[in-house]
Amino acid sequence: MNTVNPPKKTLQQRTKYNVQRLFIWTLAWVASLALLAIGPRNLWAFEASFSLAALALNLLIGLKMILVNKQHLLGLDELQRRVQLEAMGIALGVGLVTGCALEALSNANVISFTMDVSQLIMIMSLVYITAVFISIRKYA
Amino acid sequence: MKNRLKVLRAERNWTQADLAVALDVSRQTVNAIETNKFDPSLPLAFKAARLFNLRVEEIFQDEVE
Repeated sequence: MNTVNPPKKTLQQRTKYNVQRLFIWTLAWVASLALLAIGPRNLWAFEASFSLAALALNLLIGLKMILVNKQHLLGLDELQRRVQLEAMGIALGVGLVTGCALEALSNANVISFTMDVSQLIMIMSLVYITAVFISIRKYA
Repeated sequence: MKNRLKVLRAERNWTQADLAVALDVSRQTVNAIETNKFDPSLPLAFKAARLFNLRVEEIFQDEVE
């Protein structure tokens, strides 16, 4: 078979490596977020310097997670990137529209509850997963 | 856009997986291109052309008349 500048790693190997790295850094970010959330009350009695250190750690790990995610996306092939782009676009749009609509309804006293950031993230995550699934089916 | 990838692949007895490895894409992407559900980028089209020793227009044809 003819070869066209064969890459050092196959797409499968590259994706596996990138997904593993993304998993590890996402786990680290969640752990640092948990530390930031429960640390002030349970670990360092609201000492501001410790909270700022935990925040700095959380932001640094978050930045690394973003960069690793970007690398993961760049490592995908063009169809996989399109699937991800469509899913992220839909999730972002749903999050924006839902968040703004519920905020407006809350301000107008039409609804009694206000949406929490975590609830919005959960909705966006579910929409993202659904959109990825639908896109994969569409191109299968 | 129509293409002859499936025919060219069959002539060489390659599977979709073989072609996917050669083009550094997933098997699903090869399948999506072969079934005209996805149009490849220009770099990928040229890569396929180099692989089959053909010109791009001998593999991919515009469907607009």
